[in-house]
Amino acid sequence: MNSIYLLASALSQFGEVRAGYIPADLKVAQVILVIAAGLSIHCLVKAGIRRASVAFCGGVALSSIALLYVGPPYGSSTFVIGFAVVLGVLTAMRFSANTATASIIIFLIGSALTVASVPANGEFPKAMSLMAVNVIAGAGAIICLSRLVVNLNPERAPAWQSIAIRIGGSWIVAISVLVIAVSSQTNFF
Amino acid sequence: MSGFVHPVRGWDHVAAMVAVGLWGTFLGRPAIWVLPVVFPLVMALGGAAGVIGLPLPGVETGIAISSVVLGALILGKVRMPLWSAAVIVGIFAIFHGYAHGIELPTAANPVSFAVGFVVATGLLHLAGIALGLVTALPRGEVFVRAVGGLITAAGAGFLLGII
Repeated sequence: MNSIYLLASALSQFGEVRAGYIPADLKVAQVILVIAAGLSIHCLVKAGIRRASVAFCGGVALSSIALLYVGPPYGSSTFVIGFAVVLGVLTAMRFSANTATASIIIFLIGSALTVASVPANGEFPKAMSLMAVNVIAGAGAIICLSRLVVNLNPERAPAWQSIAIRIGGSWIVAISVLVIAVSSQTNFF
Repeated sequence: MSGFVHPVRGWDHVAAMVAVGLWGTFLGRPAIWVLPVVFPLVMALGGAAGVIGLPLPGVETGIAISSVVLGALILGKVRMPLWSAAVIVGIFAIFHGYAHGIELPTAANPVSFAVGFVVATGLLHLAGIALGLVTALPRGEVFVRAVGGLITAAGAGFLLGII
């Protein structure tokens, strides 16, 4: 239950932090990414905590530098949601990545989360502090959700929990595909 | 909320979604989770086609036929290879997704609509799986096959415009 409380508090803080600072399309992309990344913990577990931390921080650092010098890429939200689709597919398939692949995926999660945390207003580097808070809140939410998934789905868990995780992954993919389709047609955000 | 109630309000959708879960349970593992995973994935592609405006003829007919066929497969306790079950479910998912997708851009909040209808669809699958678990009980299989028969009859009603 502690994980649920932690997750709820992290996500609510995440929402408050983001409100007004991040464009709506990135807001949606960010939430989808956080949920997809949290659910995919079993795919990435072989990376180990140390490697995962290094890979995540590396992704955040590299993206931050790129954002600082190049600026946010065009279609950031589509890129982030597209990446969430991949994570959702991996979760649905119960794919188990080897150490290197898992580290690369975690690196990409860090990069995507950073790209999805760019404030709407504010010039770089002034906006960096806002972005840092967003990334930390997002990372916190991912960790809490991962913890929750691990608690729900230990190795000897009943079969229905494993099924629920897979179905959850497919929902993420389905929602992401629809969001991409709608955003390509309408300026609804 | 409108997205969530969209699949629930239409009985043709409800019958087909429950049938997917029910058939998955009937087929056993791994179909019990493969079918409810395949359905939303392909449904999203159908939904995307609807959003983009790609033409798809006979959507309502396809949805009604999905109830007839899936119900009949449960009624007849038809067992088939997993891939062919997934293909059948996937084909029908396109029609269901398309029907939701064409309404998506006009929704007040398209993101909530998308989340709502995917979650509602998934919950209907889970309801079908839960219903299918009664096969473990004595006479449970007869009950499930009877439900399959009802779904087929309802599908025929949708197809003929009686319901």
